[in-house]
Amino acid sequence: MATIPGLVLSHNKNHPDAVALRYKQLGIWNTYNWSNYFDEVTLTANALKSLSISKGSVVAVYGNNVPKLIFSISAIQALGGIVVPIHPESTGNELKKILSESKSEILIAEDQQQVDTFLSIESECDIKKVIYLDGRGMSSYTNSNLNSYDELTLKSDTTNIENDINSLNENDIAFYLFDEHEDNLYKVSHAAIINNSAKIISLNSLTEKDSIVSYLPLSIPTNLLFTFVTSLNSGMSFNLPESNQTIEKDLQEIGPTILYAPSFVFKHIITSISYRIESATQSNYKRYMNHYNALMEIYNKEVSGESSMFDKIKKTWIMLTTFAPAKNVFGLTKIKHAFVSDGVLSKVNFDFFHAIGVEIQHSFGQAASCGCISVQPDHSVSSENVGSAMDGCEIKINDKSEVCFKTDCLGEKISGDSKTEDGWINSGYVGKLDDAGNIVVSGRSEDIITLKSGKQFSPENIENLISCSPFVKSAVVIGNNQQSVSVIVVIDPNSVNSWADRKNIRYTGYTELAAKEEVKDLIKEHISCVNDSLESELKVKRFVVLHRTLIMNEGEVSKTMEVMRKNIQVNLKDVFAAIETNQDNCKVNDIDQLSYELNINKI
Amino acid sequence: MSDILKVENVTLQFGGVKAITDISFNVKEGEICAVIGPNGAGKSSMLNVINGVYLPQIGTVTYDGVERKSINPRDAAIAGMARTFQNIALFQGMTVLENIMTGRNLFMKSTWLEQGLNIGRAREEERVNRLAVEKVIKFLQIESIRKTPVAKLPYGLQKRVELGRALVAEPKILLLDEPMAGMNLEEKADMSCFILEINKEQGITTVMIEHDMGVVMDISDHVVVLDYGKKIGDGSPSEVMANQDVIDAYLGVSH
Repeated sequence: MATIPGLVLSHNKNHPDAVALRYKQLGIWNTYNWSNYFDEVTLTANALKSLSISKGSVVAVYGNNVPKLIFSISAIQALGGIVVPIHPESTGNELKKILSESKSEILIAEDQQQVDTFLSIESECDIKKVIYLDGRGMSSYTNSNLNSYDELTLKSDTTNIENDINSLNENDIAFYLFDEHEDNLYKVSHAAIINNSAKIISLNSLTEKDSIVSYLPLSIPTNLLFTFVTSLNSGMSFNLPESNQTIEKDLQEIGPTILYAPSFVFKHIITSISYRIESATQSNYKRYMNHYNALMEIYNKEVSGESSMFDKIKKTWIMLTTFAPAKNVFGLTKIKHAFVSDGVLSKVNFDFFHAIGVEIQHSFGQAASCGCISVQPDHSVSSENVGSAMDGCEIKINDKSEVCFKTDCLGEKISGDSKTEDGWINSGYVGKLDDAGNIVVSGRSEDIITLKSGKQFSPENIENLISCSPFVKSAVVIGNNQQSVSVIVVIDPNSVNSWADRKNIRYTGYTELAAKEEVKDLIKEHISCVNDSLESELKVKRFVVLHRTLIMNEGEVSKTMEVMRKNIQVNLKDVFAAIETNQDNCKVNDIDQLSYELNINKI
Repeated sequence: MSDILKVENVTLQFGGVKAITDISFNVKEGEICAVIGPNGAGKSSMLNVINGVYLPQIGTVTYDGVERKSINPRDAAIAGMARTFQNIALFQGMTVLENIMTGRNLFMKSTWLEQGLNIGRAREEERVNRLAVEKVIKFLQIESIRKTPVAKLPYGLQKRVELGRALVAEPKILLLDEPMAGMNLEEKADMSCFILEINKEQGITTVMIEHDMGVVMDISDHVVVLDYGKKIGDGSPSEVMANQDVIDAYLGVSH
């Protein structure tokens, strides 16, 4: 009976009073135990039944993780329906594509933002009803297809849905998951995603005593697996933050034992620590830097097994006085496992987290593999690999160095077949297997850059090194058919702002700040440091500091803040052209219809 | 819709200076009424007359069917008038939550001793009032700065906190003195949304003084124009925009 609603039902039977879900509302943490959780699912399921949702119906859920949306997922599936999670920031075009390809009948939208996006494309898709969860700002809307969740559940009853749930088959489709990179939907069955989560649970010995804060939308396949399904399967508590702006505080209050996040979240933590510490008083700053250096030294000794008793005492002291409070601010105090979903953290960041006792574990997977095919074991100290294949998965590297896999927890393309003739699936990433059988991923295969000299490389490595600086938010490497490597740098507004304030640099906004000579010098210095660790052909010779950040709604970064090269190349074609033709300046006609003057700096 | 507020022939003088001369206008229940005019036109004085801070020499203010020449500001608040100020008047050292809580002062009956010891009526009052405050915090989307001292906040957010403090008093009519002054475009858009939502979804009548013509024309139902203490225009935004006196006052006219 391994289905998503089946798990809710069995938790309700086995331990109805255990905490299932917490969410913060009006400043107070509210708790649902499994019995309340199941009641809510029952109520929602009966409401949805009245809208004639039945076996095989496709329902899209469009919004952030709020309790009503979480209950809706299980309720839809209890009736045999298929859930299509959509990212709350999805634009009209993406929404239209997902709704029409999945043939969704009903849309559950979080609030006015999502409803408005839907209404802008309403005529182009076949949605019969929209259920909104929060009616704020919509009192004047007259569209008869809009229904309030609260009104529906108010009219609903609590007819037992156990029979519906028991009649489900574990091989039924549970989700259609959208993969942004592949631009495609994947069918995922209950059994596949639950079995995959079971592997993660047993590998890391997760129990119902653990807790997780889920603040990224469930439309991200890896997130769905690591937070929602894993918590349902293990029975651990699933915590929802008050709003997107309060996540840091909420993490601190919950103190979760499991952290799941894409690499940008971990980088954000490091950036926040470093710019806060730089604006601290001189004595605190010095203490922090001394402790940081000492800690890293001890960590390196620990890794090589040379640490002494004295080191242990010193580390305890350093942790107690400096890093334990810092960990607490970010809610990392109780973390046992911190999973990174996409790619790898740079060695500096990886080592730092391990040194302060946050066990970072890289993982690798996409929608096609139900979110995960490999995860680093606990206490792994290599920042390069993403772990070896989990049970039931096989991995090989094809002749184009692409990572291919077979898994028993498969997500199949909704249209067309993703498998090659011999049953392997191409992940779309290039990489290699190291001696221990661990996968080392270097980047997406379509992103591989070929220099004029014929040298091929994956830009992500250089980009990771450059964006390692707290002052850099993201970096885009350019080099196809070029003599040398160039890079577009996007500065991090938070840290550069506070740096500029301390240096008494005057500016009015981001664009002006990014154009400051001092900022260019700052970036230049950092890139020179990065160059020292790169082989001579790959050294960065030119860089541009971009006048704005990369925009998610324009598809320039993915929902997990990965650089989406194809779209950047279109939107910033002027910058690319200027670099390719060796100009010193370039005039950018940007997507906001304004034009900007950028300098191309040499190193 | 009936008139919730009637200002009739009000004249206000400070010594020999006439701040307001013989001004009359009505505010209908449920509308957004904007009072505009150049600097020194008497706009803030007008608001101060309405909620009883200033006592006009001539004229009356009829609020909610009761005509009165003067009203104590506290009585005005009890009668359902809440306001914000041109220069932010928050307690800088207190947190956002505490500042907004002060707006619930009227609903607290317990003594300071009960409150200090958290006994008797104070406990229940604290719970009820905190709930009201939290609802407003959610409405204004300032959950993340709940416990931040106001002095640390940027100007735009302080304005929002001040609006929050006015809102928790559960007013019938909201007097806003330059709610968007000194804000950037994004903050103005946010503030406009909040004002519209307060007006349309909660049905609170709003009288606001504002300089930003774009905002005024976009969100108000009714505009009153003052110049040198006199009323020179009164009507819908489009009527006011077409009024020659108003154009002269704003663009200047050769004498």
